[in-house]
Amino acid sequence: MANNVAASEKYRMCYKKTGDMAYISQLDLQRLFQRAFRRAGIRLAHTHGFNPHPKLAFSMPVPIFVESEAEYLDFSIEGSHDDATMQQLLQPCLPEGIFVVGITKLLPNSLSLSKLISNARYEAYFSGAGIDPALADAEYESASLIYTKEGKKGKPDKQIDLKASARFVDFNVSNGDLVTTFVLPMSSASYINPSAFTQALQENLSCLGAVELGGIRKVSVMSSLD
Amino acid sequence: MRQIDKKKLANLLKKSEKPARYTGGEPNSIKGRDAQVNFALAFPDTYEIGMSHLGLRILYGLINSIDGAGAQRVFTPLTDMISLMRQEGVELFSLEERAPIGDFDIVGFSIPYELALTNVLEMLELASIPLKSKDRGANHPIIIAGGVCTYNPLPFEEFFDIIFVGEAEEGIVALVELLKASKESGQAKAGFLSKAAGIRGVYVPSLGGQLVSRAFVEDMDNAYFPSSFVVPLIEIIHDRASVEIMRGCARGCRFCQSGFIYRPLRPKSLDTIKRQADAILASTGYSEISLASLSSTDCPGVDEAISYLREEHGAGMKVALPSLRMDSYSLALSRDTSTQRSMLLTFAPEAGSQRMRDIINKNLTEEQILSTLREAFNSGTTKIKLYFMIGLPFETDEDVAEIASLVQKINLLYLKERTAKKPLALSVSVSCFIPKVHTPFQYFPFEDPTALARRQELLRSLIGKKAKLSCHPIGASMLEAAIARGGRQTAEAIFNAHKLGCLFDSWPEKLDLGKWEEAFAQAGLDLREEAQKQYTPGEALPWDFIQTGVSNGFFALEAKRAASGQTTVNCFEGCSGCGISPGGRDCYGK
Repeated sequence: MANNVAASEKYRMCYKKTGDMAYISQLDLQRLFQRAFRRAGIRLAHTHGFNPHPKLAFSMPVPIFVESEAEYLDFSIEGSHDDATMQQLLQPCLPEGIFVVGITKLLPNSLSLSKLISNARYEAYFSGAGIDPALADAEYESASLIYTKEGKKGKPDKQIDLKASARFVDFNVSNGDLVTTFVLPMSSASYINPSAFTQALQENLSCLGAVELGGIRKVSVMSSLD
Repeated sequence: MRQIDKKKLANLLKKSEKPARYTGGEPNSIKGRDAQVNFALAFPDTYEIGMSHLGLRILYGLINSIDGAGAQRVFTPLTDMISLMRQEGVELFSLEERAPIGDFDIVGFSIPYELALTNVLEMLELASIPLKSKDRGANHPIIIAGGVCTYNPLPFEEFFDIIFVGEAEEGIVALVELLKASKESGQAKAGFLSKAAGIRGVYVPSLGGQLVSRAFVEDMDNAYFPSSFVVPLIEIIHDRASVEIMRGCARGCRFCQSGFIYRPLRPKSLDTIKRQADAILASTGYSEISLASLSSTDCPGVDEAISYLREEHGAGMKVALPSLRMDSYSLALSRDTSTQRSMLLTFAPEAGSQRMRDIINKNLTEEQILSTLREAFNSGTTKIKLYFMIGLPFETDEDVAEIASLVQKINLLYLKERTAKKPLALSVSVSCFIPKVHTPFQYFPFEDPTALARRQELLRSLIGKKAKLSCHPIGASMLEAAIARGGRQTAEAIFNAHKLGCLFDSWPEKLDLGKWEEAFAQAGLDLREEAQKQYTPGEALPWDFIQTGVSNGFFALEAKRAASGQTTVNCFEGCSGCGISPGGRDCYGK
C-alpha cells in the first residue's frame, strides 16, 4: 500500500448509521461514502500505488443489523475545505439514516482510530419485556457466558469468556422495554461482536430467552486515553 | 397509500439474506410522492439484476417527471424472503413507500427474457392479484407488460391488460395521462382500455384482432433521458453510470433480434452524449461509465466522447465500451478506455467457420479476426474472451469443429506475436442458437438437443486445455426457444409451471426442466416440439400482427440468402430495403 505525503489534508468525521442503514455492510458503506464525496464535489486524496484508492479509514464497523450513534471515518482530501462547509455539502448527498455529527481537521501525528478507540458502549432493547431488571442482574451474576469463535483459515475454534471481556453490564427499564447496557472492547485483537454478546445473554439468561430482541445500538465509543 | 405493517416487515428483514434489497432509501430514489397515478415499476428478477437495467432507470425518471404521476420500484424477492412473506402474511410491497403492489393504479412489468415469466406470476400472486386478466376486476391495478419479449406477446398476453410494444419513452407518457384523465372523469376500466388501444405501441389483448405498430423514438437527441440514477446501497450487477449513445444497429446479423426490432440506427449527437454523461456522473458520484449501444464503434463521435470523459472527469474515470467489433478502430478505443494492466478484450465472432459467418451475415473474415488479435497481442493484451453460438441453421459438426481450429490458431498467434510474459488467458463462451421472432431466422427450428450435446462434447474434446470453455445449458435454451415463438396455448404451460413451483428459471441452478416438460404436457404441448417448430420463409406467422416496420418479404429474402450463404450489405454500405424506410432513402444518422 503506497502512502505519500502530498498536499492533502486529513479530517475526522463522526456519523450515525441508523434506521435502514443498519442493513448495509461495511463494504456497501465504503462505496456509499466514496460516491457521496464525489456528488458533493469534495475530491478525496488517493494513494499513489499501482491501484490508486481513496484514503478512507473507518473505525471498527458495527455488524449488520446494529445501529450506531458513534461511527468514525478519517479521510484525506485534495485542496482544503472549511469543516462546516464540508458537512453542509456532504449531508444532502447521504441517504436517510447516515447523519454527519461533525467533521474536524486532524493535526499531523494524530492517533489513528484503531489506536484511539478502545471500547464501545451498546444498548440492546428487548421489546415489551416486563421483566424485573433486578432478576436479569441476578441471573447475569450467576451465568457463564462462553462464546465459541470459529477459527479462521483452519485454526481451531476459540472459546471466549464474554463475561470477563465485558467491561460493564447493566439492566434497566425504559419505555416499558428492558434495556441492557454493556461495554465491549473495540481493539481488533480483543474485539467482541455485540450481536454475539446479546445472543449469549438470550441463550444463558432464562428471563430473556422468550422475549423478542428489538434492536442493538452502539451509543458511544471510549478512548484508551480516557 | 397504505403501507405494510412496519413491525412485521422489520421481522422479515432481520431474517432475510440481504435486507437492503427491500428497503429502498437509496440516494436519488423518490419517496413520499402523493400521486394521482401510482405506477409500480416491476422487474421480474432480483434487485441486483433489475437495478442494472437501463430501461428501468429511464422509465423511473420519466414517469416521476410526469405531473401527477409517481413511480415506485418492486423486484422479485428471493426465495427466502418469499417464504417469510407467505409465513407472516406480508404482501408484495414497493421499495419507496412500502405500499402493497395491489394498491397501485398500474403495475408495469419489464420482461427482459422469456425465462422471467414465472417470476411475473409469482409477484402477482404475492401481491394477491389474480394472475389472468379476465379474473381481475375494477379494483385491481392495470397490469402492463413491456420489454423485448413483447414482440411476440402470445405466450403471456392472457396475464396482462395491456402489452406495450416498442420503445416506451413516448407511449408511456400518453398512457399515464390517459389514465389520469380517466380517473378524474370516473371512467370504467373497459373504457380506458379501449382508448389506450389508440396509443401507438399499445396492444390490448382483450380487444383482440388489432394490428400493433411498435412505438419508437424518432429523435434520440430530444428523447427523455434521466439526469440522475438511483444509486444502490448494495452492489448490483452493473454498478456504474450508463449512457445510451445510439439505438439500433446497422449490421443485420440474421439471428439478432435487437438488430431488427430497434431499426433504424439512431445515434445521439456528441453534445447530447456529453451532456447526459456529465449529468449522470455529477448526480450519482459513479467513477465508471458505460457507453451503451448495440455496436459502440458504429456511433459517430464515440472516440471524442471517450476522450472528453477522460479529460473532463479525470484519469480515474473508467469508460466501458460494450459490443466491440473486431477491427483496429475498436482496439484503439478500448486501449484508451481501460487501464493498461488487466485489459480484457471481448469479441463475438459468433461462428467458427467462414461458411457459417456468411450464413448469419456476420460480415467478419478470419483474416480480420486474426489481424485484430495480432495487433492486440503486440500491444500487450493477455486476456481474450470470445462468444460463439452453435445450433445455427445449416450448421454441421465440421463448422463447429472450426471453432476449435480458430482457438488453436489464436493460441499459435499469441506465441508468435505476444509482447507480454504471461500465458494467454483465452475464454470461449458457447451458447445455443435460439430462433427469435422478427428476425430472418424466425423460421428455423431450435437444433435437436442431442445434436447440440454432441457438438458441445466435440468442442470440449477438441479445445481441451487450449481455452477455458463454457457451454450454455441446452435445456434452458430449449425452454427459451419454446416460449419465444410460442402461441396462446403456451400461456397455459407457463401458468402450470408456476403452479408446479418453477421460479427464477433463468438461474441454471434453479431451473427444473422436468417440471417444465410436465407443465407443457398438461397444456397439451410438447416442449421439444414447440422449440423445434419450423416455418417456410414467407408464410404468415402468428406474431405478424406485431409490426416492426421491417417487412416479412425482407425476412423471407434474408432467410433464403442465408440458405445459399449470401451476405447482405450493412446500412452504411447501402440500403438493403428492409422496409423501415419507405422509398429506400438513407435512414441512419438523420
